[in-house]
Amino acid sequence: MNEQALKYLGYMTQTITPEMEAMMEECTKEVEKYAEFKAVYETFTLAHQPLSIPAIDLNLDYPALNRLLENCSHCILIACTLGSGLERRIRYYGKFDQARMIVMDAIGSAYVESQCDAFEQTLNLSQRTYRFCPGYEQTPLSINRKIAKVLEIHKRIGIELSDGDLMIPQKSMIGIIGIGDSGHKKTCRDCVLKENCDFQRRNTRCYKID
Amino acid sequence: MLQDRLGKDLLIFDGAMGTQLQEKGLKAGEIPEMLNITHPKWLQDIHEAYLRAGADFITTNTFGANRLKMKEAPASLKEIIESAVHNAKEARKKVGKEAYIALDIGPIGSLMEPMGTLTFDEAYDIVKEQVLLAKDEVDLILFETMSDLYEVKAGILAAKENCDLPIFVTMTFEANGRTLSGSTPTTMVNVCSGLGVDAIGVNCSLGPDELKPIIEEILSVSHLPVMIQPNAGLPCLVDGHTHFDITREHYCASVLAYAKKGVSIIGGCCGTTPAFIELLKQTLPRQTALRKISNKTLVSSGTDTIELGKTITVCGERLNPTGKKKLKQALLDQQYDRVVLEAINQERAGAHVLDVNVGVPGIDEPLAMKNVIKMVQEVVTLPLQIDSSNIEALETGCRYYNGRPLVNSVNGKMESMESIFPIVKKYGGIIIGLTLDDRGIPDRAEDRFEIAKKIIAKAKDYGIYEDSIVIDCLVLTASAKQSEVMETIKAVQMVKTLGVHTVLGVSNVSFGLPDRPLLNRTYLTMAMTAGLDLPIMNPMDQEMMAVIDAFNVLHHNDVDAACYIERHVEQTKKPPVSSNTVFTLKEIVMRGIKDEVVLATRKQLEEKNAMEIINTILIPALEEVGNGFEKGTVFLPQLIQSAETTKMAFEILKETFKKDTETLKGPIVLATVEGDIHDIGKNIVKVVLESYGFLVIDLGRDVKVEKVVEAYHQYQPKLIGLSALMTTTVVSMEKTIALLKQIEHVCPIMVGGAVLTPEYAQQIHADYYAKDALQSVEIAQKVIG
Repeated sequence: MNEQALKYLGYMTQTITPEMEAMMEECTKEVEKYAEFKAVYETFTLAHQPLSIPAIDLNLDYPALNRLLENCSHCILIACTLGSGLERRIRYYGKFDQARMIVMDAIGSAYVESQCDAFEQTLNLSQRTYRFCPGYEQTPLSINRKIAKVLEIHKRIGIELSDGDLMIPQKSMIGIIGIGDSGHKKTCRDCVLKENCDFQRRNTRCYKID
Repeated sequence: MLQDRLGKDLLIFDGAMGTQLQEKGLKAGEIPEMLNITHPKWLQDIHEAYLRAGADFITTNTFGANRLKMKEAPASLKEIIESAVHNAKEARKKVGKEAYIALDIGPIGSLMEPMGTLTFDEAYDIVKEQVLLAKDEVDLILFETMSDLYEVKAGILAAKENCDLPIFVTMTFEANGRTLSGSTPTTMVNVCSGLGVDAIGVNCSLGPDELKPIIEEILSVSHLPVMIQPNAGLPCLVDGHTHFDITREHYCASVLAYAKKGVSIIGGCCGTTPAFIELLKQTLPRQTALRKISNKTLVSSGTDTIELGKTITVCGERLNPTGKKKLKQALLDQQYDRVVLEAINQERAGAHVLDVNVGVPGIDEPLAMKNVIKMVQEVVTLPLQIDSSNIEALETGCRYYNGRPLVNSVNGKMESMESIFPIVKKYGGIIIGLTLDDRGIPDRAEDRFEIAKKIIAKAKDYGIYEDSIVIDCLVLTASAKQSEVMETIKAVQMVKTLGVHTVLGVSNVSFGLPDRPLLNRTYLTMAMTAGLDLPIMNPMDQEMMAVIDAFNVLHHNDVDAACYIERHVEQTKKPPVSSNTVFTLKEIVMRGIKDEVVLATRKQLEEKNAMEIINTILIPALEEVGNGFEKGTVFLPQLIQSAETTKMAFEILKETFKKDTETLKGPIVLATVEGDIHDIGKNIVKVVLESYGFLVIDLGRDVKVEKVVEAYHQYQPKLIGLSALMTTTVVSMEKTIALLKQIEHVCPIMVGGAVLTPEYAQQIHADYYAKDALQSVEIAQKVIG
C-alpha cells in the first residue's frame, strides 16, 4: 500500500497482520475502482504588494502566500476531486466496517494527492512552486470560496463548499501553484498544530518531504 | 398549445446563454443573472437573435436565480427573475412570432443530503420560490444541467404543486454514462416519467457525438418526448479561454441523426450560437420521427433501475419489525444503525429490491418511514418497496424516496383504491395490488383473478396502467389452509394473462410447520414456474437464493448460465466450513477475525456466563491490543478491527442478558459538532467505546447545538463526547458546551479532534480532553465505571 496512506493511518513500525495486509490491498483496488478523478484549472496574472489576482479580485496578501509567490508573475488555480462515488463507498463501509472505512479514507486522501500530482505533470510547467492549499499555514479557508466560484467547480466537477468552506466530496482539493519558483519548500512553521503534532512525534510530516 | 405539439412537431430550443453573455462582456466571477437588470439590452438582443434564427423556445437568463446563489447579488430575487422574464417577453414581442418562454432553473448549487447538507424540503422551497415568481408570465419550466436526480425530484414536485405549466427536464451526464450523483439515463427517465414531466433528456455534458450512448438509451426507454441540448463538442482551453471543438455543420449533422431516431426537441448548450440554431432550423425535419417503445415495469433507486419480469427479482423482506424484537426497539428509539445494517446485509446477500416497513405500535409511522427511507437510500443502491397500511406513511415514503418505488399496497376495497391510487399516480409508484376485498381473501383462484381485474380497471381511472401494477395473489399457510395453497399458484397463472407482473410473500406458506426453509424453497419453485416475478423473501436464506439461480438457468433467464457459474463454481470448490477454529476467542479478538467470532463466542457460552467471558477474555484482549497501540506495535486499523470484533461478541452475549440497560454502561452521547462533516474520528471512538460495553447514542455529524441539548434531555447520558476536526468548527464545539453548561448538573463533557489540544479543551470549558479513542475509554471508565 501507498506510503503516504500508511502515514495517515499512523504507521511506523507496527506489525501488519496478513489479514490487514489483504484488506489494505482490497481497499486500494476499491479506491481505484470508485474514484473518478476530475480536475479544472486556469492561469491568472498576479499583482504584488499587496499580493492579489486582479482579474478576479482575489486578495492573496498572507505571509505564507507572499513568501511562496514572491518570484511568480502568474499562478494556476486548480481544483480536483475523486468524486462522490468513492465518498459514498467510504460511507457505506462506515455503516458496518469501521476499519475498512478508515483504511479507504486514508488511501483516498493519498490518492487524490497523487492523482493531482500526475495531472499537474501533464501541464508541463517548467518552473513552479508546490501546490499550496488554502488552510495551510494559517491562510483562511474562505479563499476557497472565491476560487470555487471562478473555476465553477460545482458545475464542472461537482465539488461543493459547505457553510464552513469545507469541500464535499471530502477527497477534493483546491490549490494555488505559482509559475516561477521562489524555492520555498512546504514547512510546518505556521501550522496550528505544530506544538501538538502526531506526525512530528513520529518523526515525519503530514506532507511528502522533498 | 404547446402540449398539443409535444412529441409531434420537431421543436427547436435556443443555444448557449453563457457563451453569448461572455462575448457581450460578462467577466469571470461576475453574476450573470444581474445582467438582466444592468444590461437588459444584451439579454433582449441574445433572445432576439435566437428567435430570428428559428428557435421555438427561448430560455430566461435565470440559470442560477435562486435564493442561495443570489445571496450576494445586489438585487432581490424577485427583481432578477422578473427582469429576466421581461427581457424574454420584450424580445418575443419585437420579433413578433409564436415562441415559448422557458423559465430556466439550473442546479441549486448546494449538494443534497446525504452527500451535502441541503435537505429535500429546503430544495423544494427554493424551487417553489422561483416558480411562484415567474409562473404567470412564462410558458413552461425547464430544469436543465441537473446533476442530482433527488434535487430534480424536489424541483418537479415544487413546480407541480405550485403551477400548471409543462415541465421539461434535462440532466448532464459524465463520460462514464451516469450523472454526477450516479444515476443512469434509464433511471432519470423512469423517475421523471413517474413524476409526470412533459419532456425529458440531456443537455450540456459533452458534444453530440460523445452523447450517443446516452441519447440512445433515453430514446429506448422514454415514452415522453425526448429533448437534447448538447455542447458544441468538447471544451479546450486556448489562452485561458474555453473553446468548443466542432463546427455548426458537424453539430447539425450529428443531431440530425438523433432527430431521425425520434428526438423531438433539439437545441444547444455551451459553445452553440444563433448560427448553430439557424442551421438546425434549416436542416431538421418539421415532424418528430416515430419511435416504438415497449412497455416495461421499471423500479428505480436514485441511481439504478431494475426491470421486473426479465428475470426473478428478489425482494428482501427483513426490514420489517413484525416478530423482530430488536428491530422494533431500534425503530422506537430512532437508532437506525440496525435498520441500515439489515439493508446492507440483504444487499450483500443478493436481494434486488428491499421492502421497508416500519410499522410498530405507538410509533409516529410517517416520521419513521421518512427517516428510514432517507437512511437506507443513503447506503444501498437497491430500489425500495414502501410498505405500510398507514396511508400517510406511504405518501411520506414516496415523497422522500429518491427513486421510483414499489408501493405495498392497495387492495380490491373501493376505499383502499380511492386513497392509494392518487398517491401512486402523483409520485409515480409501481403499485402492488392484493387480491382481497371487503369479503376478505377469496378461497378460489377465479375470485382472486376477478379482484385483480377490478384493481387494474379502477387504476386506469387514475391514469395508472398495467406496466405500473404488480398483483399479489396472497400466499396462505399450508398448516392452516392446506387445500388453498395451490389456489394461489393457479391465480398467479391466471393473473399473468392480464399483462401484469406478480408478487408473493413466499415464506408465509410454511408458518407453523417444521423445517420451514424446505417448504419455502419448494413453494418458491412452484410459484416461479407458474409465473411469479417478484418473490418477497429472506435473501439471507442462501439455499432459497440458490434455487432462484438454478431456476434462472433452467428457465433461460440467465443466458449461458453466466450468473450461475459465477456464483456456484466457487461453491463446488470451497471446502466445507469447519465449525472448529484454530484460534481462541481471545486470539480472534486480537486479530480481528470477524468471520469466526460469533461461533467462538457461542462456544464459550457453553462453559461460561456472559460476564465471565467479558471480564476474562474480551476486556483483557482489548487491553492488550490497546497497550500495543499505545506502544506503537499495533496499527490503528487493527485496533478498530479488534474493537468491531469485540462488538460482535457483545451482541451475542447481550442475548443472554435480560435487558440491555441492565448490563450496558452509559449511555454516552456522541456528536460531531455543527458545521463539521468529518466524522471518522467520532466513529472510531464510538466503536471502541462499544467494544468496552458502553451504550453509545450517536447523533451523527454536523449536529446542531440545540440537538445536543435535546439529546441530553431525552437520553440523560452520563457522558457527552463532542468531536471537531477543523479549527473553523471548534467554535461550534465551544457554543455547544456553553449551552450544555447552562443545564443544571449536566453530565461531564469530553472533547476530541485533530486540531484540539488539552489547553484549548480547557479553555472552552470541556471537562475532559481525549487525544484518541483509547483515552475516551479511560475517561468513560472514570466517569461511569
